[in-house]
Amino acid sequence: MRVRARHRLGDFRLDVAFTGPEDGITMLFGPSGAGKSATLAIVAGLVRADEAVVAVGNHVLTDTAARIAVPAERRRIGIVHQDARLFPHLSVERNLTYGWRRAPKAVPGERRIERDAVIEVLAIGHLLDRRPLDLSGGERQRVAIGRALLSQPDLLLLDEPVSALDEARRGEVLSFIAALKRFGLPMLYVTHREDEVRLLGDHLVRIEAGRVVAEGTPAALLPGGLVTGEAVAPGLVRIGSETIAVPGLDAPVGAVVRVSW
Amino acid sequence: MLTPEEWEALRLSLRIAGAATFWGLIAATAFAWLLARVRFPGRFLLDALLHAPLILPPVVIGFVLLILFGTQGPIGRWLDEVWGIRLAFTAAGASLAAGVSAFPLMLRAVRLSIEGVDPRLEEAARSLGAGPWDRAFTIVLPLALPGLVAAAVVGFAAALGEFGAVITFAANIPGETQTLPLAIYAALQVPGGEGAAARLSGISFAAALAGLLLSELLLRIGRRRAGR
Repeated sequence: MRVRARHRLGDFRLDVAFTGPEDGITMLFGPSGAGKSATLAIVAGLVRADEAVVAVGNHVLTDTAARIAVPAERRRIGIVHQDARLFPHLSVERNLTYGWRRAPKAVPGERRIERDAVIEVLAIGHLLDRRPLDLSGGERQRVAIGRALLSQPDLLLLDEPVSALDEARRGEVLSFIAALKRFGLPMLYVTHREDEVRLLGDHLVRIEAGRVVAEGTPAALLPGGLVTGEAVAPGLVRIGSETIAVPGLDAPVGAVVRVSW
Repeated sequence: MLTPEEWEALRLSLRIAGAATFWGLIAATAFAWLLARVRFPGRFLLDALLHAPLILPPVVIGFVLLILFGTQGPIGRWLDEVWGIRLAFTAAGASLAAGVSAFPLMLRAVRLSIEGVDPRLEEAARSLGAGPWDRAFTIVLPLALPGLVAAAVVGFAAALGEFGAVITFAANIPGETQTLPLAIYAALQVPGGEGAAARLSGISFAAALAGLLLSELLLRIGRRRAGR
């Protein structure tokens, strides 16, 4: 994945360039208002930048100099937003298969994301007949992720996918997202939380005030070390005033634990 | 209970109002879409023009239709010569007059319901590979369905009751353009016609009530389907 974008929005100037691995999660990390979501909208083709190049694999999706601008509906880019945006008039099953039914027919030898595998990985099999309005926030987000995956995207964009959830649901959905790596597709993940970068990131792009200030592996760019905290729920540790997700941690609630950070 | 002529007036009224609602709703949906979703120069002017039938005296609507769609009018002559369709003084013309009068009411209801659909849902459908028509028919119109039903009912009721525009453009021809209100008017012109007028008024009332009940039923089905 290759992204270069220059765009003016009122007083705000976005000028970013980065690359991401074709397999794994690229974290677009920075404070709110840094231009992360604007970058994502340009990648998705929902915003037309003044100057941009967006390429996924061998496909050039945007190249303003060459007048290339593939419309959003033909980009094969899945998006998961903070709010799930499920279609309220369709069942969970119809939501899941909305993009699946519209995806191009499978080419022999092409990687295909299977419906049953997605339902299993996201543990949403028991929800298929339900209506989106009857689901909890975490369930909705899992269905939204499944719906995007099943549209057979070449790239999956996740725009703060867990920031609207409470702490317990957040940890749960984060471990589901970590499990998506087995589908072997590139993901671009926008967040302002450092623990999500440590947990999920294979590649880190740090953005501040519309510019890329650092790019590399999370381990190299984030200061590390062991810290002491208190287990507050399975997979969650409170350190000072922050709660971070530590998937797989199974210490009793209230126990003092040391985690690498 | 009813004379054959009165039955004919009822049957004709339902047919004319039905056609007016059907075509009016399609036109209202297209224009509502244009006004709600597309930014173009002259949008405000078009909006005002489309709402004109609401504030014009019905007789003026009928007169304007005569000028445009009469056999000597620019559109009317073209329709007659190319397609062999005559609108002035025919049942189809009565539908046109009733539909044009009811159009602003339908437009308003449809537009509000289209504007009520969250554009982020459409954006989501877009990223899932749905093109503009696909999104319209699978996301926006199903979610706007209660509004479309409401528009159809309001439009049908207005078309059923339209008097001025219909009598001006299509005249008062029994069996061809004489709808219930026109038949009531005609009955009142004859000495001793009050009995017939009362019966026809009763039918009008019953038809309006049946329409309202039907719309309520459709609305409930629509709401359940929309998960609300």
